[in-house]
Amino acid sequence: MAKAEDYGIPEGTKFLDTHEYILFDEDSEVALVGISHYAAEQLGDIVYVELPDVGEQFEQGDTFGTIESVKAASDLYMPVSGTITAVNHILEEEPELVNDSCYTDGWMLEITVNKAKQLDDLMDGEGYIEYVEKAAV
Amino acid sequence: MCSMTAEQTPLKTTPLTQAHEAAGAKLVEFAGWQMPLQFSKVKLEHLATRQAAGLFDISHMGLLHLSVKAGHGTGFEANQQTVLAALDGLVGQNLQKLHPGKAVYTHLLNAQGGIIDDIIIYALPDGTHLGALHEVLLICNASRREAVLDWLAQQLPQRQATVQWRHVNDTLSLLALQGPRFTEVLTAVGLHDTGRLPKRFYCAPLQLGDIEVLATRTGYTGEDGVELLVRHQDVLPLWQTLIEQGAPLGLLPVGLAARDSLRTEAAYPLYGAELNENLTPLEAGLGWSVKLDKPEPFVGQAALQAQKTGGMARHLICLEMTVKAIPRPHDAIEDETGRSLGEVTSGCFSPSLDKPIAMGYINGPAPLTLGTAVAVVCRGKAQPARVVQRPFYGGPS
Repeated sequence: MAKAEDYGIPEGTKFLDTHEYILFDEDSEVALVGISHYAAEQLGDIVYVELPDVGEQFEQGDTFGTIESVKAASDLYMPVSGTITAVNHILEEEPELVNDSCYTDGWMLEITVNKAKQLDDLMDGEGYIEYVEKAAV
Repeated sequence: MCSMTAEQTPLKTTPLTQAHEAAGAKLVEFAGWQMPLQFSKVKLEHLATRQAAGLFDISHMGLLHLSVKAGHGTGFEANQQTVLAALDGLVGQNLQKLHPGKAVYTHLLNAQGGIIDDIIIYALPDGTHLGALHEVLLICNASRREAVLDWLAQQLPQRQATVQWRHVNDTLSLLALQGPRFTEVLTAVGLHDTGRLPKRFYCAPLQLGDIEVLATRTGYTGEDGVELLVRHQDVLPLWQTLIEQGAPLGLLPVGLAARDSLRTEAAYPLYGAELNENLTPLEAGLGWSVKLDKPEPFVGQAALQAQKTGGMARHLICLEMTVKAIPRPHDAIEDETGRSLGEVTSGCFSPSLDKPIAMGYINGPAPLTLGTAVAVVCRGKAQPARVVQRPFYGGPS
């Protein structure tokens, strides 16, 4: 079975079935949110990312933004309930970072997690790879 | 997010498809062909074409050669005139004005003035080119090739029984070299005398190193440039040498995605988006290409004349978004009070203008004034836009 690291997925990253990821730091209870490399590949070259404001609160599954590629637009969903503490403003000028390095420079949100237990609902890296490989068949 | 569906029927390939794949291009299905969507980044490919040069494999375009049947010929110029006269009754442009080496953009029209396809007709220079071409070449959209062939089969024999036609995609490829540095690129690949380059909307045979091409000064990007007809067996070496010699000049290979954003910035219509059998060239803002007073009557003429005097039911307009949302085909266009005005046909993020742009049809007898504030409903949300001059980029179309 494919290893998550082989896909550049940082250890501990969790995924929604709509391809958003969350990387939670247990010590600080702060998490980074973005979309997976697979999703970015499927969308094609990304030209615009609309992100929320700092301080906004969302429930798990809420739409927090929009991503536009050369060929399609897509809603972005919250992997867990949380409050926005930072957004990656660099994406306003360089949305292509989502294509190039979605798990690092291409992050979208930093949030505080209100219900850490919701993380258990999500797929881990290896579960996610299996999920997209199945979807690709 | 979106999912891709697998293709059922085998796709047609060009002689370059394997090379594109080996070069890491992302390939997609387009009108039954497997074509490169992008080679690198769409934005980079777009800007390379605007600032230096872009190279396109457009061998999927329908290449039709029309000639006079053997045994009926009376010499090159007479034969060419016979073919053009037969076509003249099917298009809005005056083909009597063509002469050897001259090309024209026009439309095959149905009786209602609707567009069967937008095409370029080339009155070829004297001689036989690439072992296959003399008299007249017609280039049509890949997606419309069958419709064009059907229409010719229905219309031409009754007009001129001695004219024959066949598609030449099985022997010839078509490349487009577009952008401000295209002449330097051609020189770098062995064009000795740039004075031999055809003028805008002319075509001429050229020698690029040891490769023979038929060059036409046409394109669909809004840039100056050429389209190069070349034999299948010569197209791979030509493509490779253009890439190699062009790279230091800033040339990039360009896929269909950037081809679409380039043509959208130039406000060039795309068949299936701005053009179809229920829309006329007048509605599409292409009235300049319809010569209602030309000597030869043509199919659709009465309908277009009626539209010109009686007014049109819709107009194509250009929109610039004042926010970052990107309009997509079929998004509603509304006025500021939320009343429906029409629908988007093409939209993209414009790399040259750094903002989203769109074209669309507005219903009603009068076009909107430049600067009018409207809204485009992008994914359920009304987003502000304003009506702007056509084209978005470059000179008047």
